[in-house]
Amino acid sequence: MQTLRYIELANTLKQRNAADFPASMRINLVTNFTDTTLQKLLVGVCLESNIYPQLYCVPYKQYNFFLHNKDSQLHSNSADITFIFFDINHYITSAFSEDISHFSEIIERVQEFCQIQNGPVVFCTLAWPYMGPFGNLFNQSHFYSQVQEYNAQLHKLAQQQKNLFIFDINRLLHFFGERNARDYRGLYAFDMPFTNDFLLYVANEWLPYIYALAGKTKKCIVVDLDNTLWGGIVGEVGLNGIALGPEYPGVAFQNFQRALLECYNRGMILAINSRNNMTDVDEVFERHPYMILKKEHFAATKINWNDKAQNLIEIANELNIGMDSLVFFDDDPVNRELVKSRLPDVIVPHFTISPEEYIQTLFSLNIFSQFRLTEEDKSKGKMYAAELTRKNIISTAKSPAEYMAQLAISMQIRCNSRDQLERLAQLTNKTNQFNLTTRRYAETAVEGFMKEGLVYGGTVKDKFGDYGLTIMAIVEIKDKIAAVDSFLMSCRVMGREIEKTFLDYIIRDLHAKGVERITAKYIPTAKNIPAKDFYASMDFKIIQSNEEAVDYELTADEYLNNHETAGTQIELIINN
Amino acid sequence: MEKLKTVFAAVLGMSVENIHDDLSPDNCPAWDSLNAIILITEIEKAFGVKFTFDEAMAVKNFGDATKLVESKGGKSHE
Repeated sequence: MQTLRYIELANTLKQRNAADFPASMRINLVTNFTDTTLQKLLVGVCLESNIYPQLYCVPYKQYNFFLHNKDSQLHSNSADITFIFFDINHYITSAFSEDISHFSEIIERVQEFCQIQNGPVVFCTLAWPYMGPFGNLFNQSHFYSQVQEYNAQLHKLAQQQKNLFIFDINRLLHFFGERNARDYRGLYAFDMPFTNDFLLYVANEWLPYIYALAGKTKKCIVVDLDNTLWGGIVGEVGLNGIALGPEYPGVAFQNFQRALLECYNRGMILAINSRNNMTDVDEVFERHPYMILKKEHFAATKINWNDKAQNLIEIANELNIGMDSLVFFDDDPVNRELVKSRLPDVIVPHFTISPEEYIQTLFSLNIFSQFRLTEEDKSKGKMYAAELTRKNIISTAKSPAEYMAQLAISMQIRCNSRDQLERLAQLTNKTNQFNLTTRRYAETAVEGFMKEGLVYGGTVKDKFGDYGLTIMAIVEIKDKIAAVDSFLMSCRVMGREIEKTFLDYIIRDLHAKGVERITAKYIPTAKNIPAKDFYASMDFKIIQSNEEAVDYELTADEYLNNHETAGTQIELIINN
Repeated sequence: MEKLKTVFAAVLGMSVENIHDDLSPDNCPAWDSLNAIILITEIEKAFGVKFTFDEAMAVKNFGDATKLVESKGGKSHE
């Protein structure tokens, strides 16, 4: 009855108001079949995730014309994201099955379309034909090889076309089973080739792309210890009594730890939230021969007898990430319910105590999608864990200045550097807290700003490691007036006055370029309160202020008169 | 046939109380040809039954749907 629930939800769209949602998304849908059910399911899953969808669907069978025609609504409605899903329909004749050249025609159309679109285009591969007249000689089937070739070309195209993302429908069919996914009566009678259940699955798998765009990416997996990382309760059975090692069930727990380590290595932050005695836990981490995860993999640890919801709040605060970035993995249903009711933004998966199912439970959460995985992303787990060491310095340093001095922060600033495009665009899409205008941009858009204006990027380092490119600003200049379109900083480097040093540099640089006045804007969101008073703290004057935005202005000369030197302890390396 | 009413209500975006035997595409604008397809597949799933194309096309109102589901062994008290 799952699909019915989403269809019902989709039917409420008309009574809803985009303004009541924290995020809205303009979505293009292009298919070559009757996609009414898919539309409804997509709307349903978006609404359930608190995203207001504005869906535009290409009229039935007109995909070719709409992709090609630059005046069509498909092009002109500047969608945030486009999903393209073609079914080859090898059971009946379709444009794909009738004419080989249709494959290359479509690939060309999609390429043209991607080049014009600012937002990402998610393109589904073609499903492999399962049956055919060639039986075991399926390789000789014209369709089979054609589909293989087409899918290979798509992958190739995605390497060139930065905003094209391949969605592998065969991976999904493999999981779902073609016989459960195909609806033959639907195919012949209504041109609806897939079952509603499969389409719900597709919609759910598309959702993470939308999450990534809406900045709703999950960043941190918080785990319990007893019966989660190992079997049994260490406080009761002791170091040697817990299940962890080569035999079942210990092997399943061990493998779950391996999976978490893989998550860590691709950039997930790990944290512990457990009711336990610290000494028992330390003993396991230090002495158990089969522990895969080490203490140093965790960026925050709450091992105490406090309420687990409170612990999660503290973890989020310590790591400087939102509650909605957390996933909480705990075997105890009571703790799960407590967290779910108190912290509805945290993802709390349900599972039974069968450790062999833990990995599937984790991976089926579908929380791992991102448009890009940069090298910086991959080391994020490590960087956050190193932050714990930095925190220890704060507690020993006598003053903030001493802390800053001990950290030995340096920042390298580059302007209009095209090799930073990928990361710059990603920063605009992922940064929520210290983000003055929260404007999301694709790489092509950032590149556009570089052509017309100035895009500054700052790479930050301290003695514990490299934070990477974590602060940026986009400035447009017209007639000696510079307008700051975007100014944002990753939460990783918050609390170090890096933003002040960075803006100070930009003001001086703009002044040197002949700019007289600088205008800037703060657009409040639910999340960017930390950035609220930033411009005021830099002596910008409020020009006008209402609920939607605060406009600021600064006279460059005046600023320079009042601030002779940058006055921070951050070493600047300028690299234009 | 409460369960059947629930399916109709969800697909057509109306409340269960407004579903009656005479409900049909003629008096219910939401019951268009596309929703009709969703209705067929969702009813089949809900009751674990399968209709032939002709059977499904012969349904002209909610009363017909109830009779069809019952004739397929769908339990009317559900």
